[in-house]
Amino acid sequence: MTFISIIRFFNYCGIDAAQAVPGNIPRIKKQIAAEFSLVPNGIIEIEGTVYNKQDVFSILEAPDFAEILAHQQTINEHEPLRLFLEKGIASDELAEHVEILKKEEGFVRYVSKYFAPLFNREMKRRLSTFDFESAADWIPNCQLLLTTDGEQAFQYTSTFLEENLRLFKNLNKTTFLSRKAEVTPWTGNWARFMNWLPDMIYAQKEELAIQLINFCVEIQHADVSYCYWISSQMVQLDYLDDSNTQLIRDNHVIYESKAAGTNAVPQSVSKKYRKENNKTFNYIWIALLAFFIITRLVGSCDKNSSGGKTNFEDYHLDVKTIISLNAITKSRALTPAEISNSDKKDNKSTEGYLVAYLSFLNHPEDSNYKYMLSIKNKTGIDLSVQTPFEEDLFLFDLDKDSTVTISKGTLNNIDLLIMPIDSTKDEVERFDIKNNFYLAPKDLKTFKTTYDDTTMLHLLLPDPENVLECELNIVNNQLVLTGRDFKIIKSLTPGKK
Amino acid sequence: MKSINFGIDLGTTNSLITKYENGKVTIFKHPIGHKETLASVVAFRPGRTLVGDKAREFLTKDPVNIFANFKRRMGTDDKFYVVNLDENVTPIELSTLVLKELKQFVYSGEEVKAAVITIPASFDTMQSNATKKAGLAAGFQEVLLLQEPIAASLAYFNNQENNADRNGYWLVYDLGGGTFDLALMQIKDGEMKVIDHEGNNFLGGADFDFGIIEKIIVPYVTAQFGIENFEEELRKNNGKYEQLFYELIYKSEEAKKELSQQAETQIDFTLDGREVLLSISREDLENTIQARVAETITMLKSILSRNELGTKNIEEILLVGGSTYIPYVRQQLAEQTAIKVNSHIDPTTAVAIGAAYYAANKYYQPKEGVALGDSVEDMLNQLSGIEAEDAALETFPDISLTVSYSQMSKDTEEVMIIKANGNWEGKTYRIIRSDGGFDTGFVPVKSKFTEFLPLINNVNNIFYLRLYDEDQDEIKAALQEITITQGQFNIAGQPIPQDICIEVDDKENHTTKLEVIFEKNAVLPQKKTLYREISKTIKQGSEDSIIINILEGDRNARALSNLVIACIEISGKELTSDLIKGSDIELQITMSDNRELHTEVFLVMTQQEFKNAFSLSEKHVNIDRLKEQFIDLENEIRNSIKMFSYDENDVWAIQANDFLKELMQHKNELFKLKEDDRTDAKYVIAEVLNRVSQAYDKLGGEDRLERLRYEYLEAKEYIENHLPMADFKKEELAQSYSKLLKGEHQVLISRNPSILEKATEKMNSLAWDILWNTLSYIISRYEGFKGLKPDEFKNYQGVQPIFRSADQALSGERYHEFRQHVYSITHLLVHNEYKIQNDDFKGTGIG
Repeated sequence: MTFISIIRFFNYCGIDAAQAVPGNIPRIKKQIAAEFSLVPNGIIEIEGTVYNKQDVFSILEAPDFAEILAHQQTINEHEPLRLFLEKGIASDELAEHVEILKKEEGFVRYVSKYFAPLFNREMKRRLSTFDFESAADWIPNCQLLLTTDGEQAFQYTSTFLEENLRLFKNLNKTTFLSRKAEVTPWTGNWARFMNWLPDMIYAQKEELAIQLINFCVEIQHADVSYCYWISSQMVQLDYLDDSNTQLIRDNHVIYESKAAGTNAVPQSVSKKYRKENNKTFNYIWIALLAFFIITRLVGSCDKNSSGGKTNFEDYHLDVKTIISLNAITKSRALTPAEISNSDKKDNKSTEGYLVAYLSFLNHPEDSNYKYMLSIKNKTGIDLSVQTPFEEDLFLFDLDKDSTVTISKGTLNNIDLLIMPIDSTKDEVERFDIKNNFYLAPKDLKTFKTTYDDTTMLHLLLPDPENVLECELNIVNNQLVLTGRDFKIIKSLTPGKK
Repeated sequence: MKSINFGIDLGTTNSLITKYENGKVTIFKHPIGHKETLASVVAFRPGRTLVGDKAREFLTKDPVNIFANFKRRMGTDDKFYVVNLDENVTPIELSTLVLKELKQFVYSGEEVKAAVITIPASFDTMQSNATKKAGLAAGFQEVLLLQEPIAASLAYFNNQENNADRNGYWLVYDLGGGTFDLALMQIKDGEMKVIDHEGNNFLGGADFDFGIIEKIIVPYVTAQFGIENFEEELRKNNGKYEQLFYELIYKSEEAKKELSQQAETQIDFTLDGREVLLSISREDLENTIQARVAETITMLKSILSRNELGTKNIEEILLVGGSTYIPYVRQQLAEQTAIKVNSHIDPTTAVAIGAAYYAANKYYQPKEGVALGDSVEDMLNQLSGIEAEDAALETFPDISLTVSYSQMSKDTEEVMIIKANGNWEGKTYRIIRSDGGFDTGFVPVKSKFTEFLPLINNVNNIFYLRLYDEDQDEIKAALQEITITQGQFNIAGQPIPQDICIEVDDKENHTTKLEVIFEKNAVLPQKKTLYREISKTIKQGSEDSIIINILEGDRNARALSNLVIACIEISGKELTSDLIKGSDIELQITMSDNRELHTEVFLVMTQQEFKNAFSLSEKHVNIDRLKEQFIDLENEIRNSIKMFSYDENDVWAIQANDFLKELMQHKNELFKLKEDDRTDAKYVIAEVLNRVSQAYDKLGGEDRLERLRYEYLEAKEYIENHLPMADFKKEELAQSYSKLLKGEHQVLISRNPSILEKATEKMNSLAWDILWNTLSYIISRYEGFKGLKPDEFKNYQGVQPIFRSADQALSGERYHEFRQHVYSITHLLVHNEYKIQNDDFKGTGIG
């Protein structure tokens, strides 16, 4: 759908937009008809934007014209957005304006259909030169899109992933050498791009990652540097299931050791391998060990948490160990209903869950930079917090006025399911995760019912402290998780309680 | 700029010319005989050419030199051979003669320099272009085209008795001499709009006349006189009864007219020296036209259902066109629709009157100079204009005003926009209504200014626009008189009669598909920029090319079945560098009020621009693409014949076989053709292909489409039932299935049988995949292979160890291994079911 600015057209005709009220529309239409008669071909072109009578009239005749006009005024006030919608010029300032405008739900609903095709074109422009960094930078602008327009907006991205999937599917260690140039772009920084892509193309993202695992295995002897570079990106992927994440990490350790000493690997890493002398640390064992520790400790959490603080660090639970287990698919696959079934302890109703999927952003220079997530229960009632783990759940109580602190470690994401201990007292309505999807790849989001939104929440780095504090409150009978600059409100689904 | 004011109804049977002046429309009459209509008939008599009723008189005497009904051939390459001239004339030339004759009707002596000519709403772009071409050839400087139902509506609603403010929907039922149009009109807040329309360019009075011959006269003659091949000899060129055929056409038309007034009439003619007298009753006529009238009612119902309107939502059906005089038509409409039928409008003159109303608000720029043949009045006008200009030049050489307003209005005020060109600073203007009831006073001139002029109801409101210099002295030369008639409707615009689409590649299906540029019923003019990708790499200097095909028709139909109205081919030889697959192509497409198409193509990678304005003569055919389309169609028809025969559907099989035969007659010639061929052969074959494709798409009609949809849904159901039973690659198969479902909506609404067939084929192919990944099926097939004879294997000895391994794997419950063995066995079968796909699809190059 092509955007045309009615305000700009009004300016051309000398019509005062403030006069465009229902009683005046027939008069304005007359004037516009006369304007079109004045030009020989019946088409008016203003600074490269084409206007024809039918398009202009259909805006004027729209039942929600007043709203359209208000939205168009908003666009006019945000020059970078206007330029993008009218001419497809994507300036650096656009992101700031998107950041402001994304909060205006009605506006997003209006602009999305115009924004989607242009978003796709811009993405194409960036991806056609394999500029993953700039493509990743572009993704957050999708916050001006409705889910329904997502397919159009990510059409090229989808094609791009498919084409590259085909490329990697059809390369072996021999053909790779002759087609190395095609693979070269994938030795750059592409992980952020892949991580930030929305879930609607999850299947392709996953398929490509899996194909890359196979590809690296295939070429590890042919070109260890390429293999290492690609793998270095793959370990940063935060959307794969636990087994694939673990596989990538295991493989990466091997590739890293193989590439040690080559120019591909930084000296500091190479030294480590010289010291370890190929005694690769087995992450699987760590994960299993952690599992036993957690299972045992979670039970004690129930008893001890009333002390006001549940610190995973205190229990030597380095969350790094659950990184591969706490995957995005898990949070998506586990709907509240399913969780309820697995919660055999007290078989509580699913009503009243607040589902929060938090994704941590890595420190730009140090991916192992440690910081904490602390959640304080200020609801005045005792809460129960669950986080999915394998086929089971970690469960701990978070009594009123108590705090739980989670060390980030190298954790990239975590699911939290928060509910009152006594669900019969619960006044909060069900958050239906299945019906919600949000194109929110980066930064902080507020969940709103009306947004038809979703899950993923990326947390900004806490600065200057290394604790990212947030608190749980009940506001208007809704469970609310509030951070420094984010808020998750349990969506209302009337009548489903 | 001057108002066009003249309207022309260029009808199949009769034509008229009208003029709008001061709120009224004048129908000009033939200077001799004072008849309003001019018969659209041309006679080439020895030494002279007659047009109109005089020509019609010769229809029975000298039929081979008399031409009528040529409107229906507009836009085709048909030619008529004139015996007396020993040369061919085209439908455009014949229409030109009618238009020239109409100009002679204007008794005032004023030369008609521009006119609005009406066309059926369902005329395609080629037919519209042909009409415009005829107008220009007749000497008009400017020709605007107007769809007939719109013209009829303007005439009806601007009639003084009917022009009360009425909001609602109306249907215009225009059954003329050769064409049928149906338009759904809406009046809302004093504005008239065409919401939708339907039509058939080959349904009208001429078809009814022919029906009388075919269904009444021929059976009568055959039964009474037992003449063999009477119909064949009657119909064919230079047949024994060719002259009689023209006579019967004429007499059938007369009989049809009489039967509108009386219950019975007679036709007499001479056959091989015998006098034949045949009585025809009104009932006989009704039986002959029944099916065609039913067709119009089906269209009427379809237009209502498409727009979600019930018969109760329609105020009236307005009857237009000579054929609506037939009582059966009126009666059927009333009975079948239960909508009030309004026959008060004069079906003969309504279109011409409406054309004049439309012309009043359309402007053109007269060409400079006084040409020989201009009327005295025009010459005087131009001279006075020159004088006025001279006067203006003396004092204010640097200002002129361009004014835009509607000459008709339903409102109590009308807007006027005035654009000042030149040095306007310091000057003032003043607008006064002639009765003194309105005066703007002196207002400073700006580069563009707008005034709302109050109107007195139901009269011609005259305003004077005066321009003054800095000293408030009037600039006489700039005085303009503006007349606005209150109480008359204006039309919002003309809709596009068919979807305008671009043909793009559908590589997945090895075919092309249509993408809409301008939707049917979008109001003209339109302009759009499309951003597409190049779908194949074109090397600089190569013979390979991209083809930009713009088509008119139904977006859901096969590209080949639609009418190509524009084509640009850009070959590698024209490129300044390589054009890489995936690079961008920008297409700017404009369609004017007159449906003239302009296209600008920009190749982003090579930074090259190609511009084109299309007309009738620029039809373009790419031979490689034509061959590809030919093979595609041939294969589809062959497959259909097999399917029809398998279903024992002999009627469809025979018809499809006839299409195939017709196609095959041209195959050898096509495959001999080279790209640089200079003959018309490629055009002829392209035309055959288009015609056969259309006919093949229509074969079986809705029944066939329904059957194909059923087959698709059956295949889908099969997959849904069997997918859960798959034992291997379940996830992969499920993903393939959901991928197929993505395009399902487009498949199910498609009117293109090939899309449905291909979608079903894909479903079936997935169903096979599922079966070959289902253990129980693999086991049953395996048991079947075991029972095959040695000669059914390519290497019987070689297959034995595989059977043994498979047995072991099965008994050991190593099912993956077992499946692999069974696959290996299938490769050793003599008849394997492996299909070869054509990967050499070239397409248009536009993705």
